[in-house]
Amino acid sequence: MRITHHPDDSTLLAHAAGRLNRAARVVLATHLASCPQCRETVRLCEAIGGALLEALPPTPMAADSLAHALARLELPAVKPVNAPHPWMLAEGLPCPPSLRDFTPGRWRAMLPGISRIQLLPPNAGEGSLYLLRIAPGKRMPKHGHTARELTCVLAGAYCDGLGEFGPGDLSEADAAHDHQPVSAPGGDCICLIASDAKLRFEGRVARLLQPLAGV
Amino acid sequence: MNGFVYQPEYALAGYAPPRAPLRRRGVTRPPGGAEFARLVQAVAAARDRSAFARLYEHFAPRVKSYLLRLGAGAGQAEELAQEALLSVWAKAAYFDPEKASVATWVFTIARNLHIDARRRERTPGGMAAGLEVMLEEAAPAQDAADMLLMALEQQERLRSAVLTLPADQAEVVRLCFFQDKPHAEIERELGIPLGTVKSRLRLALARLRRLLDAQI
Repeated sequence: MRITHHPDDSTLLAHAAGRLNRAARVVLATHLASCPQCRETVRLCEAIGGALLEALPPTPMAADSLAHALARLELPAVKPVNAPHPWMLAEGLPCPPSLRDFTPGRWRAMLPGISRIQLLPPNAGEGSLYLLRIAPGKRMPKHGHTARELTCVLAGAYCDGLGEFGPGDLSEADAAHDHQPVSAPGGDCICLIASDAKLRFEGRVARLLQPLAGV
Repeated sequence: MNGFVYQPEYALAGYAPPRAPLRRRGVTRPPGGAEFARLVQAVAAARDRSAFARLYEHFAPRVKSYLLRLGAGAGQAEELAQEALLSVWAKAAYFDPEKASVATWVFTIARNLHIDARRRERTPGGMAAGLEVMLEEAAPAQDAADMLLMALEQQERLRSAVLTLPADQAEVVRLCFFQDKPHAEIERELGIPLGTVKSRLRLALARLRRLLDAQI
């Protein structure tokens, strides 16, 4: 897997600082699992967090806090929960570890050749997270974003004004970015997408589809 | 508003300027983090309660400060700080001093606990975010004293460098870690455009990376 598109350093820093919503965290974790370079950056950012933590003026704990903690050391350790098994995104394609926590959903048709599994609803305060499956050689309706959108390709590939995106690649779109992705020929393109807000389709027909799309 | 008043001077107070790089093997002055790493290893190997108590007294009050800055209430900050240190006890065998300093490890534990706590507030009864522990839990380090010494030196250099970032970069980096707000709100707070927030964060990272690369 040759990864050519990475998240911005400022996004990785926000991730390491624990400031991203769950949808964005899951998409970044998916990219990080296959990108040693970005994992290294996250480690550097976490080390910054450690240095800042060390430099904070301490706030005294309650007087009996340590005694309490020592008493709790006697308690039997909680056994780690086994990670759930991967579920299948498509035939022959198990979900990445970052998605094992989620209940497998069914692909629902959105537009001809385009279907979707919603993993986190847009209104739960953790960002909207969904899988998009696009048939080969399909042109998506042109759309812009009202907020940040993170996309990680899981299978296949697509192209837009920013370049070609294959498995592991991460694309970061913001409000200033309109695009019209086209999936590569060959196999279905499956992407994992985190969005902070609804898409804004352009053109009358596409706008009519917006409520159906619900993303 | 979470009650956190931005104080540019606090993170720098009381810290000496960065030391000259330590390049040689057999450094005489052990980096500050070495002692904490030894304490964690004592907890892992011998379930040493007095070592745990020393870690607790040092880190719990700092984790509490961190959580207070993120907007946690006093009770919750106290509780999560204790949880974080109990995790240090439970996971001590997984700590790898070559990969991270104890402070960094404790930071990631506290950060993940805070993320989980926020999530539980949103979705009562939601499951624990077992897969969200972003720090790799590697096997205990082999006894490679030289490697360890180099790692500890590097961690110490990085720590000094973080505390001596140029003021404008230090400001956005600190806000990024200590305020639970999107970049866009940091921008509002500082009265600088979002692009500037991001470019300052990038500059800070580039500076730290250069520093590490130059001294490997």
